[in-house]
Amino acid sequence: VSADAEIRQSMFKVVPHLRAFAISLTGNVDRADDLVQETLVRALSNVEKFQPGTSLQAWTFTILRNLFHTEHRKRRREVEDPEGLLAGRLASLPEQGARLDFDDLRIALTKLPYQQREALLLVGAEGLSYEEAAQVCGTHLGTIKSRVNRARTRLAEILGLDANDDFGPDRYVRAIMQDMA
Amino acid sequence: MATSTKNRDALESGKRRKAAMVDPKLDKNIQGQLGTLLQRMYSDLLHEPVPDRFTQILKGFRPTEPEDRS
Repeated sequence: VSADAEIRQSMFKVVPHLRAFAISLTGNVDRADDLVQETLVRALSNVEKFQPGTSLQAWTFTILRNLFHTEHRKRRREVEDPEGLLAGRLASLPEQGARLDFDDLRIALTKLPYQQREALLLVGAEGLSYEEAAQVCGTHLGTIKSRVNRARTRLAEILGLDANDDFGPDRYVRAIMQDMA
Repeated sequence: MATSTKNRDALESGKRRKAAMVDPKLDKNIQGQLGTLLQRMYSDLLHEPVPDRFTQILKGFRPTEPEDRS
């Protein structure tokens, strides 16, 4: 089996992760799929640049993240509006009781500055170490820690989570558990 | 003297406020809840079926996108 074939085979396992990251990052399935497609095409056409023994996942995530940033800069103006409209739905969420679903969380994520969003997703959802996330984002460890911390704080604000509220955080988890049952 | 103490207190208070802005601390309970939410959402996404076009690309078929100039 050639190295190229091996890498292709390994990429099959990475694709669901790339797609989950892209959907969470963009809040838009179509945009996410375009990003994943472009990532796969770039990765395969630069496969000789991949260093065996290093993480294929980190390598492909770096490609996707860089593509996202390039696209985000180009589309900044048009992206802001749809995100703003979607996020506007959240304003009445706390008053609506236990009705947080994953779509609401995805919309809340789009309210975060994108550098905080990507850091939180890589560490808090994808399970990368802070070091790996720093490598993917091309930044320092301390910067990633700070971005993750700020993202968590902001997300808690957007979702109206309150540690002192008996009906606060738990109700969201209960709602999700009920949804999953 | 009183003014000096007042100024110092104001300075310290300002530093604390700035530190909180730079590195806000989030309640551990809320951190746990957020972690659970994120991981459940992500797990849901990870189990989504992979679109066929990605499988085709990895099998060596080129996508038929406009940017493909081959």
